[in-house]
Amino acid sequence: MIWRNFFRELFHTTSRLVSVIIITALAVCMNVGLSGISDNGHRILDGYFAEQNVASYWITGTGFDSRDIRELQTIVAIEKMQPRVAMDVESRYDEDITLELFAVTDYAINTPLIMEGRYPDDPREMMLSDVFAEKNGLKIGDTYEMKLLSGAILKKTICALIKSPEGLNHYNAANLTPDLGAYGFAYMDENALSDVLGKHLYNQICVKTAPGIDDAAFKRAVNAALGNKALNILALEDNSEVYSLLEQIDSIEMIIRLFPLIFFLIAALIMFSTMSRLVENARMSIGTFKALGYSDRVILRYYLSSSVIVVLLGFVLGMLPATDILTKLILDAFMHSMDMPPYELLPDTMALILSFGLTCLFCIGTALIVTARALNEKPSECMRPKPPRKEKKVFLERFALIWRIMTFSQKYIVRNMMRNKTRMMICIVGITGCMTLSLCAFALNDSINYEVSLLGSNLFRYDIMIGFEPTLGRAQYEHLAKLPGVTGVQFDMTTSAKVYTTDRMETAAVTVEEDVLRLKLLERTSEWPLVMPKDGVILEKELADELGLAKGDTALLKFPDKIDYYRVRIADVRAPVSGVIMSQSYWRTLGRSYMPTSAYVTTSSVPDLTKKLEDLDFVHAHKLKKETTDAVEEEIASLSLIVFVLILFGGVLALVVLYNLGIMSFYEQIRSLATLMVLGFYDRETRKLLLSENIVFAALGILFGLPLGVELANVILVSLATFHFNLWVQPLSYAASAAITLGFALLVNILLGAMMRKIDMLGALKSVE
Amino acid sequence: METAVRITDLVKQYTMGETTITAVDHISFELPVGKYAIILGASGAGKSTVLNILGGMDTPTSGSVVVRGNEISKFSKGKLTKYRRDSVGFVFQFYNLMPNLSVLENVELASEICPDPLDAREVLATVGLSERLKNFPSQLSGGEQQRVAIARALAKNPDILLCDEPTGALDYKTGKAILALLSDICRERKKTVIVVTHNSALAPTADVLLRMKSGQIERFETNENPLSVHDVEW
Repeated sequence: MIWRNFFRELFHTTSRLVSVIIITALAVCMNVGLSGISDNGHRILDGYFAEQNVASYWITGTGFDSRDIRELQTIVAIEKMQPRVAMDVESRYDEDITLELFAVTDYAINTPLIMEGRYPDDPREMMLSDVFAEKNGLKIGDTYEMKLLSGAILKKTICALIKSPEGLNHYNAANLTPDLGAYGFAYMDENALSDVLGKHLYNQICVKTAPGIDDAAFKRAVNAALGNKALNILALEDNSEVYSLLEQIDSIEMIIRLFPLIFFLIAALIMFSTMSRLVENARMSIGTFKALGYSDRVILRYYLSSSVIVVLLGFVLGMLPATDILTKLILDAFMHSMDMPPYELLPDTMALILSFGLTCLFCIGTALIVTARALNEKPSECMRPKPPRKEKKVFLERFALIWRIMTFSQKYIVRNMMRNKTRMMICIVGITGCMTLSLCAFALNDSINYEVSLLGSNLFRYDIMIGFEPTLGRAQYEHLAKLPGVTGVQFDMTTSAKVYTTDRMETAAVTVEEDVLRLKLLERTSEWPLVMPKDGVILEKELADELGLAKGDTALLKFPDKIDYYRVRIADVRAPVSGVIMSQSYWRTLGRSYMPTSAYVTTSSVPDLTKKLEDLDFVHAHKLKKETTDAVEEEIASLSLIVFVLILFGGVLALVVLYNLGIMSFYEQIRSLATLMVLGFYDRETRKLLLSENIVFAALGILFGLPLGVELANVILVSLATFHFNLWVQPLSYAASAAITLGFALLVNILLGAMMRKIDMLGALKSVE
Repeated sequence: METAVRITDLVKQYTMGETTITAVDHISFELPVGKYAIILGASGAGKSTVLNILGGMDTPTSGSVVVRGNEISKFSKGKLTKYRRDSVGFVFQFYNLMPNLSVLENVELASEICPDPLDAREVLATVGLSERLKNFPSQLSGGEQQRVAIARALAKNPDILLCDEPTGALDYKTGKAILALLSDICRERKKTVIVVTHNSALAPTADVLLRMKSGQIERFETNENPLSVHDVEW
């Protein structure tokens, strides 16, 4: 019979339990779903990398021969080596299509994943990127014709369609948006290209090292073994074509951890307050059960059962959409531009266990404590209603003047708010949480949009970017400025160098800029025009940190084409720039010759100039500004998606918090409500007395949420270090997030108002608790 | 003499699932203004239902209820609220005071919303609570709380005062004092007071007595010389 009572009681408390179930589900969904992004991302990619035995380092240089390979074999850390020839070729019939060829000794490292077909068993065969093949209408058995830099023609038959972890995010400077139809890759036997560099001569060695080796020590050892032949030693973590996805996922790690935490805290508050009040309200029943002779165990089980139901339902409801909807939605956005083999998402087991543990702790734990407390009382004490708390004068009453001019309803509202301080706290915390989340989301959105807009409006002021052929001559690039329609030109020159300090070395890109920059600045927030320092170089912050360099220090530069070392002064250290940057004048003081590698031009007519550029033989490639900014926006799109999800969750959270507290308050005050009705209060008057407090709470929550939201957004932006975003919030965003929060508060009031109208006056007054 | 209440052929049925319970079964009676009426009956006789309908808190299934010329049985929900607001004072067995409001504020709660209220302090003085104005209900005894409830009902200056077992939760002595207060109010202020009780010892104290049984009026008596509540014992 006790269980029949249980189900009837459960039925009566449904509306109160539902909100706890929803909030449990939300917290679980958020935690499992977001944490699943990182979990699944790492699992899928680590699995892929392990399966295809992706290299630990790519050593790029010139003329590696068998002696070099023997030298490398002396390095203990190296477990496996794969010398190969890596080179770019063009399609014979379309110079806009580039294919990167890898001629390998074996397929043991960076093993291509064969989607269809087989390994080559003939130097005339090659394995081709399946996306490239599909976009160019190629299939197994077709022969593809390519043009080498030397002009020689290469013909290979496609024997397999593949994906490769090396081609995960296949892009280069001229191909920022990875267009896998225009920029593909292919693998073949080393003999297939042996006549290009020479037999058993290679320009790249992929190595697999033991895990956890010291990066700097390894690079020193390789440099020692290969001398000047190694131009670049690229670790897997620095190889953006392979690793950028993991880097992107890691960059949102902060959001993934922080948001579910905030969510869980608020959810815990709600679970705690609701469960404790439900059991508290049932004190009399507990006393009655005891008086009837039911054992403590049975009663405890009785009252724990409802919290178990809440946990189970909330957990299952939250778990179901977490992986397949939330994780999938965001991870797919990340994977979108990547050439990944099909993958499968699995629920994040750790997050599941953690969520389950936390919900159990907060829900069942609370019920347990409160029930146990009631059980410890004597049945007679339990059955008597708790003596009403001594009503104290509220704080405001001390200010007699204010208190006197307040209307009666205002006094009533104030008293009611102060009646239960815990409730007031939770309410304000809940709304503050909502406001914080939504303002943070808006602020992130603003900052991202602002930065992207700066990209187009400040950083990039050119119309077309032009890449030059390496054969460029001075007359040619000077001719560019004289082309009709060209209104401005800015050149830069990129090369690479090793940067030495006394005990450290890093390979870095070196960019030589003009002395005054007008068309392409260095940072989104750079002033215009930007005057480059004449007395030294600008160093990327990350590079400076690794080398232990600061502003004012000096370092040595070593260029691959010269035996000499050049001493440079660090004039500035900036975060968002890349490598080493210096002005033309400073470059010339080093005694180096200048030949630009790219140009940024403004023009009166983009189409006309684009057409003209096609005919210039020294122009290697050209790209519109929009293509570059679009690529960045694409990369940021997945970030915006997360922001959207956060706004949504924040909103629902506020709704549930307010509704939950409102409905708890509603049931606790139902007698007062009924009394007001009997006294002849109109519905709107009753609503005003009972629901105004929600608006006050909302206002306070919004006020507290303002600084917190901005601060949270700032913390997240700092954590997204790779993007170097500054916080920027539009005034409208403050208003919008406040409006959303207030809107939810009003919606809850409408819901509660509708419930008030349905109160059975007589029933409510008859039941004495 | 002016009629305070005229009930004609009143029926109230509650449908619970498939069974229909008739709480009030075709009753008719009339009460003149300014009388102290007692509705007497055992539990479930339908007396509270009659009182609730009179108070505009419930609506009849059929029949007509006229209070001071207003046929409230035809009133809409909104009009009933207005009726409760302006014309009825209600006293409950369990006081139903607002726990967050002080004694004075509880009375003001009612007087604030009606067109012709009495002064809250004066009414509280009438019920003997001048010294407790700033106290909260939880600081008062049951009898004191019921006095506040009566003061709250009175302060609205209603046409009709309805009391549902007003002494049900009080001890003998306090109960008597409350009943004496109610009959005094009736005689001194010429208010129509209707008290519902199951205590038959109170029968001789009423001007008009309705004995109810199974939803019907068993007997309707008028008493020209009612006793004071102090003269009856139970």
